[in-house]
Amino acid sequence: MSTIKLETSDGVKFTVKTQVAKCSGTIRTMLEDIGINPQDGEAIPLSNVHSTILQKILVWAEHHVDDPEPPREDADAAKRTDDICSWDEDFLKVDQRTLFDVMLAANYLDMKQLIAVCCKTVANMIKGKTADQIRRTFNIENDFPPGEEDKIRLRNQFCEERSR
Amino acid sequence: MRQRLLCFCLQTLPLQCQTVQNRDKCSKKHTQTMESVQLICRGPCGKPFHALCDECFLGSLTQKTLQSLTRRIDSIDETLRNLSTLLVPLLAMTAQQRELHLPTELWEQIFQHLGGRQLARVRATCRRWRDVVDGCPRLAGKFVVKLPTDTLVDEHYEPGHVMGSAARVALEKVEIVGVGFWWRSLGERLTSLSLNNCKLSLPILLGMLKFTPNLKSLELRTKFCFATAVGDASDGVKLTKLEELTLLSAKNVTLFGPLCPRLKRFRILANLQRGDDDRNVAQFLQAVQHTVEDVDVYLTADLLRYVTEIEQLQLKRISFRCISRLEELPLVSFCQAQWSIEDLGIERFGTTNATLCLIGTSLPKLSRITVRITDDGTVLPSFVNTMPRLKHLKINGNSKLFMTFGTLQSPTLTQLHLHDVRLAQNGLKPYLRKCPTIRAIILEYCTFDNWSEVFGPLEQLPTLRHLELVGIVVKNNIGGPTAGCFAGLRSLKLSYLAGGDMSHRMLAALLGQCGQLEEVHLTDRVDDEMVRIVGGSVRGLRRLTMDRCVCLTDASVEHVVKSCAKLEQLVVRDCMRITRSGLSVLKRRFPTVLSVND
Repeated sequence: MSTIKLETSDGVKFTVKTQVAKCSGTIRTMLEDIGINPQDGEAIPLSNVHSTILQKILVWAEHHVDDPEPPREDADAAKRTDDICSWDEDFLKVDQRTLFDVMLAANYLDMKQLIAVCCKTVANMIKGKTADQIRRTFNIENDFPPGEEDKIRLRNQFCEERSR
Repeated sequence: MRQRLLCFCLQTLPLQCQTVQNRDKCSKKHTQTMESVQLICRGPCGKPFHALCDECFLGSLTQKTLQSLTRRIDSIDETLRNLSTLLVPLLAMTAQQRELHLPTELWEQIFQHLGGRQLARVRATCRRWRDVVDGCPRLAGKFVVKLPTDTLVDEHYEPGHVMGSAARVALEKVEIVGVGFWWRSLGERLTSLSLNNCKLSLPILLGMLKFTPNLKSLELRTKFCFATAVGDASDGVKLTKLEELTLLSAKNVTLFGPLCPRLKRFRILANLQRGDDDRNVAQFLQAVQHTVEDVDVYLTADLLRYVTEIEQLQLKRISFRCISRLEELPLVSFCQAQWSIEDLGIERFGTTNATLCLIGTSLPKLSRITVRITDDGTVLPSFVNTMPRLKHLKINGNSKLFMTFGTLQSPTLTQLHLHDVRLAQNGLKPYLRKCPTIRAIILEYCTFDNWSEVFGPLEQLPTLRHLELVGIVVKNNIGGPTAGCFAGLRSLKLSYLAGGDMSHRMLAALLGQCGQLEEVHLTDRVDDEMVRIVGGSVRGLRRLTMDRCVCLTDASVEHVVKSCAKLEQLVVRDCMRITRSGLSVLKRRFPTVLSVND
């Protein structure tokens, strides 16, 4: 089985099965379109990914390497957040910082399925919370000027999605 | 051995001792040698200074220098304190930015999973998130602009707030006599406009529609005053993107024909009353025949005849409502002309099985049908076999009808809905075994011989996710569910009419078989004990609805508060005997998931 080398931002080199590495659209493009030859033994530099995060992402990729291609995204299916498989749920039980770092790295590596499952996880963290609870969950500062009374405005102006 | 040497700029310099002098040596020979060593500060000041070891340095200090040093340290200390008050929020901020620094497209993807109400909260969280929501049309489209009821909108009226980025407007009981400049800026973005029970004239509406070139959906559940004085008010109105039009009556329907060249869905809510209503609707359909796919209207014999004659019309979905009895033959001719229909709703239009067989053979693409069967006696609905692509089937029966599905089969059926159907013994089970993709079964006011006849057909359907048992009547109150039979079920709706038609024991046995149940909907004469059983048996309950449960009291509130920890949605609607204090208990326990509508 062919392998390739990846080098992270902190200079750590990983030897990865080519098939697993190809879960990343970015690496796939490098290998297939740009024609980087893995046999050269030269590591592909991933300058935006730290070794701890890459380690984690490789665990995910290894587990999902045989997943079928996801169906074409349609608007309604994208709305569900209760369909995260239990393995992924456990995998993403990490501190917020790591979760966001994984997302950023997945975005850089162009791993759509991983991004999707991370997005659902974050959406679940938001669901059912008030604006104030959301701020506390994500440590966000309320940077609205005090006079704006944004919330009241929202309550008057907007309502729930039209039920179908 | 290393020695720390301090310049007054507070930059510490670790130095090899031998570069200066050995500590022992310096203690013995005193400081003169050391003071002669001049070093260059590697800190920010960059100035030369004399090195001293701590010991000699302190020993050589005079009272005066000590005082000046103390003052100096105090001032440094104060500066540091000031600095730290500045730094702490700065540090927190950078931590937050690091934590939350996701590119906009990822936030958009996250927020995509949220509904309008939650999105409004997200929008109120911080500026960054507000900008993300406002900047994304798909997210902003989830908001609806409303005005308070009984508002009078005239040329001088200004909504009291910025309109945000909403792409939909839904006005109810608002009187409009003119619109100001705000409508122009809002109208440009608008994709959906709904006027429900509003008061306005047709010219005013047309004036408003001049500024909504991007409208996709227009819903007018409103009667118009001064409807006749239209003149050329529709000049300049072109709804080139409109796909969906809903009107209350057929009165002004012909007006809209030329305005919407891309119309796909069309609906009239009220009866067609006058003789020319039929002709108006037909004329409208004539105008939009090239694009319209989906029609929902009251049907008259005349309209059916007119519509059958429109040449270019190729419908995909049609739902007929009707008030008078119609001949079945014109319906068959219509279906033969409209062979492209995929979804046919003729619920109000009673038909026999024989007619439905003719319809089935005329419509090769049919995937959804809603019918009412007028036959009596024992009937095999053999029309099902003429519709091999059927996905949704709804059959309304009648009190004289006995139905048995025999060995019919629907290989692609996902939803079966039976209403007011009496089923013969073993009338359903063999059929459901031939529906390998069935996901939802709805049995409403159906009559069975006993409970084993109800549950028997529903058991061992691995694909079944949703089940509704509403007002089930059994002749012999015996039997019940057997073990391990509803493993895949996610959502269950139960309604009791007679109060005791399904025993508590049977409910517990049923719920015990539904290991993956997430959603329960209770209605009618469900009692507190049943809520207790639901709370106790359904461990993973996420959504609970109690709708028009006239028997439920605050005891149910306690059961829900005690055992439903994972609720994401709780709806309590028209439960008269649950008191205000009971509702406030629920409100406290489930502040964000509860919705009450009474």
